Amino acid sequence: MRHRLPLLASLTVTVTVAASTAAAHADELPFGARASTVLVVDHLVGATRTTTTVVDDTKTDDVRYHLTEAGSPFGLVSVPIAGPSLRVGVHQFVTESVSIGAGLQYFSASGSGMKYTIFGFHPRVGFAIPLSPTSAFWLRAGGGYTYWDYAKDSSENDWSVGGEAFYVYTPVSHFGLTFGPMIDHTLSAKYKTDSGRETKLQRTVFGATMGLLFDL
Amino acid sequence: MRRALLAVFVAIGASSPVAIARAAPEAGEPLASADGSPPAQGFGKRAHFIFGIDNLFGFSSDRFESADGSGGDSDTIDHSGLIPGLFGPRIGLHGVLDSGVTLGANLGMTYLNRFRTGANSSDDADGMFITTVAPRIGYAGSFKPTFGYWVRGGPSLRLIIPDEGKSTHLVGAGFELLGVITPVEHLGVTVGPTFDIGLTGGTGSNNFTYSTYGLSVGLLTDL
Repeated sequence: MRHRLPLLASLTVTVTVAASTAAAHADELPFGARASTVLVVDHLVGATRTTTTVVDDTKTDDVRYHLTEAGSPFGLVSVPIAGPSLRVGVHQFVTESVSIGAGLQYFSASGSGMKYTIFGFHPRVGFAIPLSPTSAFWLRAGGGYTYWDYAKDSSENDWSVGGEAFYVYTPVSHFGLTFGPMIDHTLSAKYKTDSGRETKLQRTVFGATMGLLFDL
Repeated sequence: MRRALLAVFVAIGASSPVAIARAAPEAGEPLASADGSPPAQGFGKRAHFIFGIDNLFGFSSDRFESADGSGGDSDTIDHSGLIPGLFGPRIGLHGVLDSGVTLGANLGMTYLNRFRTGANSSDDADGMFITTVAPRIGYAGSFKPTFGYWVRGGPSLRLIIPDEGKSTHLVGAGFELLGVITPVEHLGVTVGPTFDIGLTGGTGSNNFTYSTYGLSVGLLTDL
């Protein structure tokens, strides 16, 4: 025991000094290494283009709806022409380079003859490539599920794949900005009316957006 | 016109929020830690600028009402979830004086354009430019380094300019009472009620007002 105390003391001192040194240089660590948990607000502003195609087997040509948003993309829609773009998410870095997380959407509105709810879940696997202590690339990809509940018992279920290629700028500790292209493409989307009639849809959202992140 | 305006909103879609901050410590003041520990100074004292997002999540009740004061002709839409409300996100930039007084503005700007194509339907298109300008004067203070408050007020101007037709203007007086939780430096979570009382507005000769109130959860960074 007498031999263990100096060892324990020296180990404690070593760990404390190492932790203090790491803390003192927290801002010098690159994105992905300086924090393990990242809270994000994706697609806060930017320009996006949504194309929704109504796949009707009884017609020779499909009907396409195109929605272009620039500035602060909206999160509110009531008809199947666009997907809400803003998401909040939490990502965990399991290594200094690899992150696992998800973005969430929830929106509900009612009144003046309308009522609908949108819920989305978009899991992502990410890979961070540090360029400097204040900049990095953060590539993310994954799937997605979005449920739209419209008035009069109509609804829509979307399964999609998507990803983002963000440039991350972290000028100060715990705060950063993300810039870059994003895309979401539905693999399966069905709009179902109260009468039971199903309409197949295809939807693609792409654009360049900016968001915020807070790494903890 | 109000119903037409709502219909356009509903058809095209709309909404989102933001606000921000920055500060440099004065000579002799302790630096806030950068290792995830709580900030050394309270909100309103440690930063010179605030950048943030209001109304990121919460509840909002939007009301359009005839300007004749009868109150008998109105439309109300309730929203909850991400970016509640009809007018989308507002990005705020505010300066902080040594006294804790904040001066800045919340801005929102969106252009929407929709068109439809298809052989079995006639092509159509519509679009609009929507902007919100909300100058704010406020006071930022703190009860302790990790918990503060931010009271703000000022006019709110909203413009809706369609590609075709007359534009709509809506003028109101806004007020926000926000609690600010700052678990680590440069990150704040704001929670509190927001109000916007419609004063005047309309489309051409059709006069109406827009009022909204809600509960807002937002994020900010003070630098």
